[in-house]
Amino acid sequence: MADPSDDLHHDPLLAAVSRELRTAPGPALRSVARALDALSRERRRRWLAASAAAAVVLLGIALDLRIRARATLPVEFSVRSPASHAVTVVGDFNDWNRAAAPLTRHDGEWTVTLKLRPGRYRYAFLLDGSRWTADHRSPSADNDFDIPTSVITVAN
Amino acid sequence: MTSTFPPRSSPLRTDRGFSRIALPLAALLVGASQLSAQDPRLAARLPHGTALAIQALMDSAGRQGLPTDPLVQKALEGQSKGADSAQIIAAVHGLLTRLETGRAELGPNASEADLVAAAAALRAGASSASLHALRLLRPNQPLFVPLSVLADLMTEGIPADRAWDSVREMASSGASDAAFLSLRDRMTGTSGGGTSPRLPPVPERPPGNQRPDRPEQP
Repeated sequence: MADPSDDLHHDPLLAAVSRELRTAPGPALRSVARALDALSRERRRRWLAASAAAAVVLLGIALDLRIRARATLPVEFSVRSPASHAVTVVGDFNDWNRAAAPLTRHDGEWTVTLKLRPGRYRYAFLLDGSRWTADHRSPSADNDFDIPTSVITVAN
Repeated sequence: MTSTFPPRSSPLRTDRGFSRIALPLAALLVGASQLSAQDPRLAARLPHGTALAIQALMDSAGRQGLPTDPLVQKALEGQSKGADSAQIIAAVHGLLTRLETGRAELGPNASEADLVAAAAALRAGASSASLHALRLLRPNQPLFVPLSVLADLMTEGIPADRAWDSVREMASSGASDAAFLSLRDRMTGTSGGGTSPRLPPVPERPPGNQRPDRPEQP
């Protein structure tokens, strides 16, 4: 019948030695068996602690990657248009909703800061609700609908 | 006592009755589920027929594991810019085709951002082989920045060979995303307007490659 103390020892040879020492005559040998058991117990505790620490680290890395992937970055859009009364930026980031992102005027320069996730976005400015203009500081986008369009690449 | 054939308890009679009710009910449920699956943004902003056509393209994308939001954005872009239904459907269909090619070249683990940038590069004239080569040059790394830069260079008129050589060299040397964007700005004279302020500053443009801020188009 297996001794419950055998479970302590990962190494079968160590388990056998411990078992023999426990049944050996003389308190000295039994104390050696107890020392071996204590050593195995300590090793098991350290192994569990190391495993738990590794799991926490891996979980943290996975969480960090997930947060980074979903993280948004502030992106400023600006256009100079002193004659306009209202300007919005319309693009892939706001469902091409003409009214979703109005710009604020500062001496003829219109600006707004949006939070975007990393990626590539097409957009254009809409002046006074009727005139489209591209962002001439950004690269041009391909043009499926005959309206000037720009593109921005947001990177981490 | 009268008897009927088949008897009322006959499985034949039961099955027939079941089919009469169940089949139309199933069709109704399938139709309802398709209706409920339709993107509300399409239904709200596009004519019914156009929305259905776009939804069919989205269903096709979904079955292939492709992202559907870029298709929605393309359709909404067309609507916002006043394009007609034929233009919108053609543009969305073209994008779907390019997303399919992008997935084939970049592999099943490509992110939505990678596929969108790949589609843009293909639209600009990049070859599918260049997408595959880029994937091999930067294994297990996001590809959307180099692909986006390749698309930008070509759209801005840089010859395809020169654009690809520049991107390939940088990818081979393990360049950072910021370095790719700086390369694009140097080669095209753009300043990356709207780029995140967290990105490093853009280096000075070489002489003769200035691109002054143009005033708005009337």
